[in-house]
Amino acid sequence: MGGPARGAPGGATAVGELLTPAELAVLAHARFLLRRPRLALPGGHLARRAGASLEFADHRPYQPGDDLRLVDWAVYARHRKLVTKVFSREVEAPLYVLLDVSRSMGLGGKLPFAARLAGALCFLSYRTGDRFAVYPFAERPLFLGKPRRGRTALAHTFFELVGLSAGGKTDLARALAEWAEAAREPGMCLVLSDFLAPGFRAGLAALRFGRHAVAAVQILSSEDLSPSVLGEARLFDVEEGRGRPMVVGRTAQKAYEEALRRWNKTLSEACLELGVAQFLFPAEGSPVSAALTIARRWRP
Amino acid sequence: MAAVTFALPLAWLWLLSLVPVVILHFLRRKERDWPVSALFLWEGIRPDRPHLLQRLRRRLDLLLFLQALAVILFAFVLSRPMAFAVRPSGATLLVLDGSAFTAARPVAERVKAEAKRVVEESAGPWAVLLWADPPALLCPPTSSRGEVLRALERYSPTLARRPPLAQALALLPEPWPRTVVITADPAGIPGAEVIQVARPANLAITAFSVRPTPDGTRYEAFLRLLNATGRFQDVQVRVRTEAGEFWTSRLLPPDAEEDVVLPLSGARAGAFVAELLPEDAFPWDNVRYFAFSTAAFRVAWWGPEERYLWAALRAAAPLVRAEKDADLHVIVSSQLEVEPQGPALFVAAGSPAGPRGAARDAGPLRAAPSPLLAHVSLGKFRIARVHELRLPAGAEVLAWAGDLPLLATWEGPNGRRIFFSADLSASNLPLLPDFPVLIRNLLGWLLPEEPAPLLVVGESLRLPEGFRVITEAGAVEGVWVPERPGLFELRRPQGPGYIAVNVPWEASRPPLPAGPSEEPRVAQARMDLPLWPWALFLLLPLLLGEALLFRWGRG
Repeated sequence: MGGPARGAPGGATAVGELLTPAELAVLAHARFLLRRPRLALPGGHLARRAGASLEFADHRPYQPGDDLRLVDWAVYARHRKLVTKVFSREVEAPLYVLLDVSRSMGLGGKLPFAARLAGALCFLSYRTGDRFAVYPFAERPLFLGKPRRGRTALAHTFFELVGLSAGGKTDLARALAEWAEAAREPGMCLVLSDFLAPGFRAGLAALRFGRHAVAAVQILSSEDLSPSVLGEARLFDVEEGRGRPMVVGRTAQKAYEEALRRWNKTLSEACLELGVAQFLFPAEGSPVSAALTIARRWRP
Repeated sequence: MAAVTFALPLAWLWLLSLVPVVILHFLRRKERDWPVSALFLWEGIRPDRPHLLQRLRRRLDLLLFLQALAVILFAFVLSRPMAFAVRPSGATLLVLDGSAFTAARPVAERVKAEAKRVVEESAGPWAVLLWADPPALLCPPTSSRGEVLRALERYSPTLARRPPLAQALALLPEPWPRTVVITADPAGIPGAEVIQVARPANLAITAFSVRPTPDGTRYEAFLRLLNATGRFQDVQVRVRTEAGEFWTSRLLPPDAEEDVVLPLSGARAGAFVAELLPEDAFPWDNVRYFAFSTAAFRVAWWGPEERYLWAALRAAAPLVRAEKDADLHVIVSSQLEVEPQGPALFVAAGSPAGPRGAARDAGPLRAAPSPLLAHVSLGKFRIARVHELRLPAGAEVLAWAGDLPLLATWEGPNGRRIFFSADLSASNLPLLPDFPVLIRNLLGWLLPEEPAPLLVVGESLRLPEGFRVITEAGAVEGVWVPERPGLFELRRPQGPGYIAVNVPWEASRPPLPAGPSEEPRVAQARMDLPLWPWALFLLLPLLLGEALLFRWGRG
C-alpha cells in the first residue's frame, strides 16, 4: 500500500468515497513538519543534526579543518574569536501510517474513521511533496513496501483504504517490531489503533529504536468509552472469541470506565517514557479535524 | 350495539395458556450477544444485581405483549362472540320520491344514500317503490339485501309531479309494517316514517305567461321569479321568441318572489321561452315555455268591454268576436235574460240558471285543489268586491271569498258554465301573471276540444283525431305524455301550433314543513352480528407481526 500499485486504479472515485472535496480543501492548508523551518521551502523538514542548508542553526568554536568560508568574520572582528557558522541539515521525512485492521477495529466504526484519518494524513504529506505509505497490520504487517510520493501514490493509497476490512487479532508488539525492522529510513510514524491489546509498549519501543518520530493515535468508539447499559448480555471478545455473561448496569458501567481509564494511563505512561506523542479520538468524530489536530500539535 | 355475548364462554379457559407463555418468556435466555473490543477490561467487574422487579420490567417487551394479545384474541375467537344490534323489525317498504322535487343534482344521491342507510339498519324483507307519475316498483318484496341495494342503483327521479301517495302504494296492496318515505317535500304524507333530504338553494321562474296588450299593439310577458337561496341574487331574465330576444335584470331579495312584466315589442310569435340566469342545481325551472293556442274561437261578448279580460282570453286562445254561432259566450258585469247556448264564462255576471246578486265586500279567499286553479297563487289575489250568486243545483264551488262563492263550475243542459263573481275593476287581477293562467285554465275546461297548449311533464294529453305531436322519438298520436320540458310542435288540420311543456310549477317552491304527525311506531328486533370473523381477521396480522418481531430479535 502506498508503494507500487497493487490494485486497480480508480483513484478519483476512491478519493471521493474516502474524503469529500470540501474536506480535502480544508486539509490543503495544513502540513506536517518535524521542526518548523524559517522559510517555507517545499518539501523541506529540518533535521536536528547540523548540515548544509540555507538555514543558520548555531555557532561553534573554529576547529582546524573547518571550511574557512564558514568562519563568521563579523564575530571575529568584534570578539577576536574564530567561530564557525553551523547550518541545519535539510532532510526528507516520509510519513508512515501504521493502521490497525484487527477485528476490534471493526466495532463501533473505528476502522472507517481510521481509514479516513489515514487518508487525510497521507493527503497532508502529499501536499508537502513528501513520501507516504499506509501499512495495515493485525498480528503482522500486511504490507512492507516503500513510501512513495505523488498523485498516483495518493490515488492508490486511497483506493486501498476504501477497500480495507477488519480481520485478525491484534499483536502490536510483533507487528510493529516486524515493520520497524523492514523500514530502514527514519520518518514520521503514526500508529492508528484502539490500543486495546497488550504489547503496545514493546511495539512503540521498536519504532523508537528505528529512529522514527512516533505518535500513537488511539481511536475508540463511544461503546469503548462508555458502554450503554445493556442489562443482561453475553459479552464476547471479537478477537479472542471468548465470552462472558454479564449484567451491565450503572455500577458495572462505571467500573468499566475506570478500567479503561487505568489502561489508557499505562498507555500514556509508556508514550511519555518512550517520547511518543499520544492522541485519542472518538470514532464518531471528524477524521479531518483529527488530522488537523495531529498536524498542529505533533512536534517531533 | 347493545351488548356482546359468547356462544362458548368456556373457551375463555384458553386464557390459561397465558401462564406457560409468560413463564416460557421469562425462562428464555435473555442474554444478548454483545461484541466488545477488549473483554479483558471487563475482567474483575462484578455483574450488576438489579432488583427483581426491575429485571422483570426489562423483560416485559413488545414480543410478550404481542404474544399475550394473540392468546387473548384467540380465546376471544374461540368463545364465538356475538354482538346484538337493535334494529327495526319486520318488512320495510321504501318509498323513494321520484318527482321533480328530487331531480335537483345532489338530492337524488341523498335519497339513494338515505335509502341504503335504511336498508343497512333494518332487518328486512324490503320492497322499493318509486313515487312518481307513473309510480313504479323498483324492487319487489325480497329478503335479499344485495338485491335491494342493486335496485336502489336504478333509482332515477323524473321531472313530473307526484301522484297521491295512496296511488303509489296501490302497487303493493298487502299491508307493510313499516313504510319509509324518503323525499325532499314531506308535506302531506300521513302515517309513514318520513326522511326528509335537503334541497339545494334554488332560483326559479314560478310563473310565466304571455298576453297581448289590451290595445293589441304588442305582447307582454309576465314572470314570477323566486329566489330561494337565502341571499340577494342579481339575476337576468331572457325571453326568446321567433322574433328575437328580450332581456331584463333584477336584484332579488332573499327568499322572496318578484313579478316581472317584460314588454315584447314587435313579437308576433306562437311560442315563447323564458330563461333565468344564473343556472343552479335545479336548472329545469330556470327555463319555462309558453305557447298560444292556435285554434280560432268565436266569442260572443255580453256586457261592457273589459280590456284585460279580453287580453287574457286572447292570450289563452286566438279569439274573434262573433254575434252568431259563437263557440264561447263571455258575459261581463251583467245579468242575461236568456240562457246562452253553449259554453259560457260569467264574470261578475249572471243568467237565469245562476242569477247574479248584489255586490258585497269580499272576504278572505280560500280554494279547494282543482286543475282549474293549477299554477295560480290565490294568495296574490286582492279582490275588494264580489257579487252574490245563486248557483244552480249541481254547481261545484272551487274558490270562496269569505262566505260567497268566487269561482264555480256547472255543467247544465245548455253547456258548461263558469261563474267568476269577482268585480275585476275592484281587484288587482289584471296586473297579475296568474290571471291569464287562470283564464287559460277556465278556457281549457270550457272548450275541451282543443288540446291545451300548456302542459307539465307527466301530464297526459289526449290528442283529437288528426292531431299529432312531434317529439324526438317521432310523431305521437292519441295519448301523449311528455317526459321532458320543452316546446313541441303540434300538427293539426287547421295548421301547425306549439305545445309548451314545463316541469311542475310546484317543484320550484321550497318544501313546506311537515305538519305535526304522530310518530309511526316501528317494532324493534335484536339482530345478531358475529364478531369472531373480525377478531380472526385481526389475529392473522398480529401473529405475522409477532413472528417477524421474533425473527428480527434473533437476527
